[in-house]
Amino acid sequence: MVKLTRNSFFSFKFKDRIEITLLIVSFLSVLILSLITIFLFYEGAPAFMEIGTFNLLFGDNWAPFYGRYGAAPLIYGSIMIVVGSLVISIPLGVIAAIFFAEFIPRWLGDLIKPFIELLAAIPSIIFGFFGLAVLSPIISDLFGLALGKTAFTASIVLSIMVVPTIVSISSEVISSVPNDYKRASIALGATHWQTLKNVVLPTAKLGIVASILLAFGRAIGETVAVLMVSGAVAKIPVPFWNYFKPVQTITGSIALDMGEVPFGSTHYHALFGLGIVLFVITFVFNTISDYVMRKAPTAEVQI
Amino acid sequence: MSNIHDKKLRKRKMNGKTLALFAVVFIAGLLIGGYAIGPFVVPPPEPGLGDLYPEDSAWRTGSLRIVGSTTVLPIANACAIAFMNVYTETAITVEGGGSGRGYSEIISGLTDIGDASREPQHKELDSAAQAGVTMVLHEVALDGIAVIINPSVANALDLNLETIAKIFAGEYATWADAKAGLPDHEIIIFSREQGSGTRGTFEELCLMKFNKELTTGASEVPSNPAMRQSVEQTDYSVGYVGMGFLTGDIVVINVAAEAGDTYYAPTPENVKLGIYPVSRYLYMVTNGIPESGSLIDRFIDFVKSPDGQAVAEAEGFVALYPTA
Repeated sequence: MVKLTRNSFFSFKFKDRIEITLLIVSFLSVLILSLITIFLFYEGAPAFMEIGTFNLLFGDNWAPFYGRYGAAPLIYGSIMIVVGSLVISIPLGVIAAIFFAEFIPRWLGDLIKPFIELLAAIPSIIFGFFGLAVLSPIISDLFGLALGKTAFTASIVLSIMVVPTIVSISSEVISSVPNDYKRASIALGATHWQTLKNVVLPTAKLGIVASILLAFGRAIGETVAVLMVSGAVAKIPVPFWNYFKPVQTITGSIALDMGEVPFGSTHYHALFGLGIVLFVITFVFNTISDYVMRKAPTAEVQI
Repeated sequence: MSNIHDKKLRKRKMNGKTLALFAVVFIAGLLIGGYAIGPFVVPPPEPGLGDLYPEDSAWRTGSLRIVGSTTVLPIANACAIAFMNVYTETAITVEGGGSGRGYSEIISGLTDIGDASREPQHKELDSAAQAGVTMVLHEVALDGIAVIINPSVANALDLNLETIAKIFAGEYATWADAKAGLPDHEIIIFSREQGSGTRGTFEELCLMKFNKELTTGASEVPSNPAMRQSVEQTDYSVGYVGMGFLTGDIVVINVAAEAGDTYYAPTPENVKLGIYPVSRYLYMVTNGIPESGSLIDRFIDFVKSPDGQAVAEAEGFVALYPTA
């Protein structure tokens, strides 16, 4: 075995130049990212000052045309759709992940896995088409609704989109549970199922949670597909758990209004304010999932 | 072993170089060939639209960018094509994005002409003053906003403006409440996005006249075509579109300004006469009065000329003056 140390790897002529290039490139992406963040907060901060943080976050009337900027219906709509989609996609995704990691014959896994990964690569607008043309008429007929574009429809479309995230990360985590654990368990007389339930899943638990948090992050940031099927009504449904009413999301509202909004107006800043809300939510969830992922014991136990 | 390997490598490198050379020659050939053949391929100017300015020439090779309202977009687009058919050396690009974008890009100097289906708002005038930009609004056509319903409501419908305002304010639970004889079914309301020029004009000319506000229960759609499609596909729905977009399986409501008045359909004649109550001007906006003889000046002249107005009419809008 050749030991590749840093010195032997980089000890040719262009060492310095390459290192500097790499440094500049990586620094550039960090710079762009921080500029975007600064821009977002710079444009969004006036909203919190002009409208007031409490009014913006908890006001229940979103009607910028009349100067009312209560974004609670949008925030609630986003949460509602994301929770709905996770309720559908967590059981599907986790069960599929267990199947992929533990039960499926290798050749079948190699055959199916690419398709699931492909599902994650499909542009979201195509899911939107599907939701609009296929799903929403079915739901409207099935439940006798006037408008088939509802929180429920959006939840289904979104769940199809996040299942691949859950499946691929969770199955990765489950199959990286050290074989020694499983062998030890089976040596003690446990069946495959008992091993799975008492050894594998508890070990992989944190990783699965992390995959769900990542899915949450992806779901709440999704725009186009949701906008097409959610119905875009900026109003909290009555009663509030009614999933068969149209709702509007944070992202949908930003995408709809941004084109027509007068530059520099309160409405303009309010949309950036919504962007900050979204940014903070996804940032928090990604950070937690990152932390949880690192806490997952599998990597360090592996011998 | 290593010598052979080196030779192989060198050979491959040579091959790569020759290939690259071939590619460069090939592309260069295409370019040169394209330029040589180009003049013969470009179609000759359409008959009928003659060259209005045979003398001067500075603007003839210029380029121009138009951005803004999706309502004005069809006019700008069709006029740009007609214009470029006559003056083949000019390059005009047209983009949508909404009235807000039209104004903001004019103010920040990003575009030459902004399209708008509403007048600028206070905030926009303020930021224009701050930036030292004088926005000049050129009226390019008239547009009526049609109120449309799904055929499941009725095959023909007359309503006065106040009833329409009440429908869009969400004051009626069912169609039967709005007018006797209509189905006893919930009204599904579609509206345009916040800040849309069409929405602004509709709220101003219809709802605000009666101190009403558009209900928050309205489903928002992002464009005129999307509005028409939504109303077409949703039973018991109502919405509003620019009259350039009246196609498909929808019913257009005849509107009376007040109860007891005559009902008028949103036809070009009625908008021109000013008797259809929900109509407006469409604008192209420039930074200052365009310099005489510049491409901006020539293009706006063209849009306002009989030729340009005929194009606007063909797109379903109303000409500023009677055209032949």
